[in-house]
Amino acid sequence: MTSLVVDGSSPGCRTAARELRRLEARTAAVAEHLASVRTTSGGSWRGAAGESFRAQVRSALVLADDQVARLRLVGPALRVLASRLDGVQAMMDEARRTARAGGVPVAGDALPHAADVRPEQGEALARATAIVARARDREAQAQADWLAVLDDAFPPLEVSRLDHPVPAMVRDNVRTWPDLTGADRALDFELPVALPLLPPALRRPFVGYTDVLRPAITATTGQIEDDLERDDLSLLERVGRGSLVGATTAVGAVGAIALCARISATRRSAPVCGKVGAWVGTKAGRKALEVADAH
Amino acid sequence: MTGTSVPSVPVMSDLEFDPEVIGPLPAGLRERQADLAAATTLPSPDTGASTAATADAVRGLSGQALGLSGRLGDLADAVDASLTTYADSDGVVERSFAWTPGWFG
Repeated sequence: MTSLVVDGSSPGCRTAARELRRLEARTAAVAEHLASVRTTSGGSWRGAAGESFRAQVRSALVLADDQVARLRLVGPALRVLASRLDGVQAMMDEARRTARAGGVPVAGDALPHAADVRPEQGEALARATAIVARARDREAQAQADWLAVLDDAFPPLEVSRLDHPVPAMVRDNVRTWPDLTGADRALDFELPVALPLLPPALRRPFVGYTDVLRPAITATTGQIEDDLERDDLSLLERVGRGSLVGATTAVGAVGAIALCARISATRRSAPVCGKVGAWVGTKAGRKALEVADAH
Repeated sequence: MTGTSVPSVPVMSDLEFDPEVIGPLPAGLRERQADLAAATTLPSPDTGASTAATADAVRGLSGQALGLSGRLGDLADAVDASLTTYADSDGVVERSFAWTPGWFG
């Protein structure tokens, strides 16, 4: 039996492509707005706060531009895939018509085996089968091209060392972290300029790098912020508590990503795994602090 | 910690801005945030043999859009916090207010 079924739904692809186009338009509007906000604030907001704000606007703008570029790649390609699936379906329909015209009995979505048709039907069946073979080639090519687009849109991070520097803004902010005890001095330490060498198994999933560092920093600052309500903690205790939660968050995120990689999740799943792991890590860190507080 | 002054703006070392210009920024940011968030629910189409990879990609795109949407909210919150600080101040703002947790992004 030779199947005439084409995998995939071209209407579904077109619907998704429309939604991607909508998202692209809104993301482009966000990018435009952020650029305008950056310009506006540049002329009307000076000082360290203004600079910090514009640094964050710039960072969000990069994210928006990156997202727009990705959507402009994926959306149209999905529409092309839909057209190509339609083309393959048309070839399958042609194969069916060819077989039937030659008297070949076509039941359901499959051509019969050559052994199951009468000799005078053999030629029509061979022509129909050849059409199906060409259709399958085109289908395979369409799938390969689509996957290539996805690879372009989500390139793997081929690094032997995660040497992306800690963003200067983070370092600067930590260096000038306000003294929460009220004393007029800044903390005398700096973040390392590079993260340590990673084992090979972690390199590929580390495409979700930002899903490790960012939640760790957020968890750290969140804990310190929560502790502002307490007046029984020294500065070092506050920093220590924040760092503990940040560390457990990072460990949770890295562990989850590594686990996902072990169970053959694709690299695109890494950020999701990282988020879940980071959440668990933050919870664990906070629980540890609760236990320590109880004692 | 005091610093230079800006015409028509009180002396502020780390929070020198014109509230008339900066004040409307959070509303615009939140409007874009809501627009973007409303477009992040993406269908995951049946693309045949590549359906799983497509689903991963769609999840990634949706997640990034949500992340960006969150960043817009963070920015709006940060500006609001600065505006509140400004409104509550007597014209001199300490450096610590230049730091807002959400600004780490």
